[in-house]
Parts: sequence; C-alpha cells; structure tokens
Amino acid sequence: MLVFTREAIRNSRLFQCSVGVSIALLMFGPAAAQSPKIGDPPESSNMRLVGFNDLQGRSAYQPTVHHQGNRWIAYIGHHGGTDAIAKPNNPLTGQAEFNGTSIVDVTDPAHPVYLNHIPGQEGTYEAGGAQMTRVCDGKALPKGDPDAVYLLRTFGGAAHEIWNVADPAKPKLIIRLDGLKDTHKSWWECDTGIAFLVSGVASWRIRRMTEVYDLSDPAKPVKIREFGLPGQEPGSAGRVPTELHGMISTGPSGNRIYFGYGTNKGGVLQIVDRDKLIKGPKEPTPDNLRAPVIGEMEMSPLNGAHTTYPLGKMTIPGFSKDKFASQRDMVMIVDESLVNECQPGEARQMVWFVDATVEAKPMVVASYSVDEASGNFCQRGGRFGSHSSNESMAPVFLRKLAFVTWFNAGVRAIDIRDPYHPKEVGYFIPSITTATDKRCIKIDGKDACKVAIQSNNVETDDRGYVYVVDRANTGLHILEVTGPARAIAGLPAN
Amino acid sequence: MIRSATIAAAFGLGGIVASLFYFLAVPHGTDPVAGIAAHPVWVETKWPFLMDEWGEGKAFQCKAADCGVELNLYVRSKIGFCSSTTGVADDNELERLSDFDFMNGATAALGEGHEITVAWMKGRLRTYAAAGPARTRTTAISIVYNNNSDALIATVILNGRQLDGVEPVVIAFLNEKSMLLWLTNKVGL
Repeated sequence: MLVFTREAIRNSRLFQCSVGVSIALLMFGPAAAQSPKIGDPPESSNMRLVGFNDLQGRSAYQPTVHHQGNRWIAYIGHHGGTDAIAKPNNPLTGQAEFNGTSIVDVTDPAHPVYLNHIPGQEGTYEAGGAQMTRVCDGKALPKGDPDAVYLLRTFGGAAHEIWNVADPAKPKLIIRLDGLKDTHKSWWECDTGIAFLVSGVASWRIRRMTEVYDLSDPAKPVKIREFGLPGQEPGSAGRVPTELHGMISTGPSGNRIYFGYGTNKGGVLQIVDRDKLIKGPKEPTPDNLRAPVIGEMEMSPLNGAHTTYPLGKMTIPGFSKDKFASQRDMVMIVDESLVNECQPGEARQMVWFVDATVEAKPMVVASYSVDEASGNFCQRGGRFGSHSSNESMAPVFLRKLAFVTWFNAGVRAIDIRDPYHPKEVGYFIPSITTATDKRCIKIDGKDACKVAIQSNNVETDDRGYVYVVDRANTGLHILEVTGPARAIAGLPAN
Repeated sequence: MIRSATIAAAFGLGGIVASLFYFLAVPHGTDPVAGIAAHPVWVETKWPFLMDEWGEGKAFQCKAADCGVELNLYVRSKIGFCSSTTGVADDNELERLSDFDFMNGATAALGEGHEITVAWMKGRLRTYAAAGPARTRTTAISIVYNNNSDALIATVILNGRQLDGVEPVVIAFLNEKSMLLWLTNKVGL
C-alpha cells in the first residue's frame, strides 16, 4: 500500500514542480491575461460569432438595425478618427474620409456587405464623426414620403442631419439642423415623428439638453420646445445640474419618456409625461421645466445614467403569489465608464434595475456588474465598465435578455426575467485585430499604452442577432446566443 | 492766532506721524497686496468636504499674516468632463465644472470671467459672492482649466472682498512644481 505522508509530498519532485507552476501562474498568469494578442481566439460563453465586418477601421458608436423591405440594414455611427489615422480610407470610393456613418447590409449575417460610408464632421475621437443613428420608414411617419427611408444622425457635435436611405447604397441628404454643440444620442418616434434631440444650444448653461422637434415631415422640421433640468436653462445661476445623455420614449401609448442624465457621475433618472412635455408651456422657466416631470431618482453621485431603458410591466417571479403589486414597472439604467484601466477619477460603472411602479418615487432594487477578477480586466487595457444596452423593443429579447457592452469585457447577456435578481448567462469578448487601436494611461507623466477590445455599443434585431461594435476600431461583430441563453429567448436551438 | 496755528500744526504733524505709523508699522490685514507679494506661504490642510462624485482633492491655507487675508484653496480634478477641443471656452463651461457646493451653493457672479493659464493648460477664472457658514461676506473664486478632456478646478474662499493680488498668488501656487507633479503623478494627467 502506497502511503503519501505530508513530508513525502512536500519533498516530492511532483509537488515541487506543482508549487513552482502555481507560483509561476500566480506571478505570470494575470500578466498573460493583461495583454490580448492578435490571433488569440475570442472569449465566449453562450454566445457565438456569426459574422464580421471591419467597418473600414473606424471607431464605432451607435448601431441601428432596420428591417428595410426584404433586407436588414445596419446603420452604424462613428466617432472621429484617431491621431494616427484621422481620415481612414473608404475602399468603395478610394477616398480618405472623415468618420461618419457606415451602412452595412446584414441580411445574411454571416456575410455582411458594406454598402456605403457617409462622411461625418472633421475631427478626431469625440470631436468628429457622426455618432448617433435612428431610422424611420417614410410610410410610418405621418407626413413622410412613403417611398423614403429616413436616417436621423448627428454630424459631429455640430448638427443633426436627416438622410433618405431608401437606397442604402446611395444616401441623399435632406436637411441639416445646425448651429449646435455636443449633439448626441437622440430618440425618434417613427409612428408620430416626434423627436427628442440631444443638443447643445448656446444659451443653455450645459453642453447637452433636449430639443423637442416634430419631424413627422422630415423635410420640414418644426421645433416644439427646449427641455432640461431646472438650473440648466438660460438665465439661471449657481450649481449646474448634471447634463443630459439621452432618453427613450414609449410613445403616445405609454406616454412616458425616460431621460438619463450623467454618464459616470451624478446620475439622474427622470420620468416625464410625454403629452405634457409636448403640449405644455414652452418657455424654459424652472416651473415649466418641472411641469411635465412625474418622478426623478438621484442615483449615487458615483454613477451616471447613460442609457435608461424602460422594461415595462413585469411580473416578478418571487412576488407571483402576492395579492398586491406582484407586477412591477421596471427600468434598466446603464452607466458609462470613461476612464482607462480603473484609474483615479471614476468609480465602477454598472447596470441598475429600478422599480418605478410608484413613478414619483423610483428606487434601485438590483444591480449587475462583471466580475473584474474573472478576466483581470483592470489590467487588460482601455476602459472596463458598462457603456450601453440594446434599445430594440422587439419581442425576441424584451424582458427576457438584455445585452450590455462592457468595453474590454466585451458584451454581456443578462437574464432579466427576474429583474430583482439579474444573472449573467453569456458573454462574448471579440479578438483584437491589427486595426484595434491602443488605449493609454499616464504613469509618471508618460503614456503607457495597451491594445484591448473596447466593445462600445450593442443592438439586436427582430431575428435575434446581436450586433456589437468596437470603440477601438476593431469593427462590427454579429453574434447569436446559444445554449441556455438561447432557450431563455425562446429561439430554436442552433 | 499763533496759538491756533500751533495747534493746527501740531494736529497736522500728528496726522502725518499717525499716517506714517499706520502705513509703516501696523500689519495690513485688509491690504493683501503687500502681504501676498512678500510671504505667500501655503500649508496643506485636511480636505474638509464630505465625499461626493469627484472624490477628494487637495486643500491648502495661506494665513492672513502671510497672504494679507486668509485664503482657503481647494483643488481637484474632474476626469473626462471637459471638451478637449474647446476647453473652458466661456463662463457657462466654467460654471458647469465649478465646485459651487464648496461655496455653500448660493452664489452671485461678481462680473465676467477671464482667461488664465496654468503651466501648459488654459482656463478661466470668475469671482462670486458666496454665503459663508456664519453668513459673513464670503467671496469665492473659481478657477477652471483643462488638460485635454480632464478638468482641474481650484476654488478659493476668503472673507470680504479684498481681492487685489489674490489671483496672481493663487495662479503662481497652482504653477508650482509640487502642484504640477501632483497632477501628473497622482491625478494621472
């Protein structure tokens, strides 16, 4: 009978070797995880890569996927170019073009076809490009051309533009609303034409606020009013409340708009009566700005409200036998991380689930965050933290799965069927490529740079495909959920 | 007549002597220019404010004996909250970034802001009337400058409105090597 004493084990070569390997892993394992390399496979769980397009090496922001006739077209907004490549080459024209909007046919998601690039504003990084996209069919808009398909996009920070993309390979500019600053992620109701445009109007004391427009006839925009938090309006004094990031409207049927203020600081969720906002007194006085507000929730000042996604009424599994309030009105808030490698100046940014059943008094009831230690993400390079969620209200994922981008931790699939207890059920971290741009921090005043994926925005389509785009120029990854995540969505097994 | 002239002369001489004594011998707590120019001594103090979204910065005090009027200076960063292209372009941007909470919130601008420079960074300075904790006449100076998209905010609090000479002394301190090293080594600019 072979007996291993503790002493024998301690002295054995196998044990010494194992300890050595363990120490080496402890010392170098994280270091290996720190630096993704070209050729490394993607990291994934219950999500699978279906197709890819490099988006001409442009830093990507908001994708909108539109069912256009019998085709599926992705409209992808871009940040400006980089210091190294301010105007990437467009192989379709042979011209160097400032980053703008990529138009990609994703009808066959395994073989996306790049159709057109609409150049954007001159400038690099956040200073240029055309970050935002929304798309409405002319036949859906009350006064639209029924043969047209309209793309609403920003033009850098200076303007909003509307293009006719009925032929997505040959977009035509219809109108530009300019003279603005810091335009950003707007919302456009396709059934009414009412648009809530994130703009910067010079007289306001804030970079971003809301301009409400009637774009039911996109060729003839009609401004309805300006809106923001009291203290941001012209003529006010003292402390300036947190600036707007964006909003989502539930349209006339829901009659609510969920505004998110702040990106990574001082977040505010504001629930607004849509009808009162559109029809109420327009002068931006403090009283008039308060009049349509139903409820507000100040988040911890350490977090912002980048995306405020209304989940609507949900029966909470644990409350299903309750005779009162078993159904709750839920909102998902996603913060945006701005700082590279968990450096000073920012707390961890994540996802918050808000019970807004009593609209005047919303309250956070749960949160979700990626486990940093699961991937050593603070050392991988670039940002680590949440950024944005899918905004599609298509039934395939609504109130079942939410997808949230997490920069160097890729995109995360969250089971939200019980929003009081959200659970991660999948993730996909794309591989870096030669196009992936570096991200730097300062150490003793000098740049220390790493290359890592920076999954920036995500959107889904009615078919159940997931579109993830990269801020560090890697491109568009089209994904599908697999295994348990796919079962949650009710999609047929693949 | 002679007596009257003598009295007048005595008063006059006394006045001159008194004036000379006043200007040469009495410490000038209300005239910051002389004191500040000679002895600006800044001592780091404990950060006095509660935690908020921007975290703690650095706090300094220059006593009245050194600066003519007691100056309390609070400096901290707001990472990623400035436009790297336009910087602190106007007073709206200055106010958006200012630490009004350090001024107890209530403020009224005392005139327009103006441009300043700290090392390689440009920014703006604006002065405000602020309500002090004891409802004294407190003045606040907000200095906001930027390094790309990162904003630096210096807030000076003092009692009264004796502002002559304060700005150059504060700007000189913000330009000191130790302050710039703090920005690069600790703040991460």
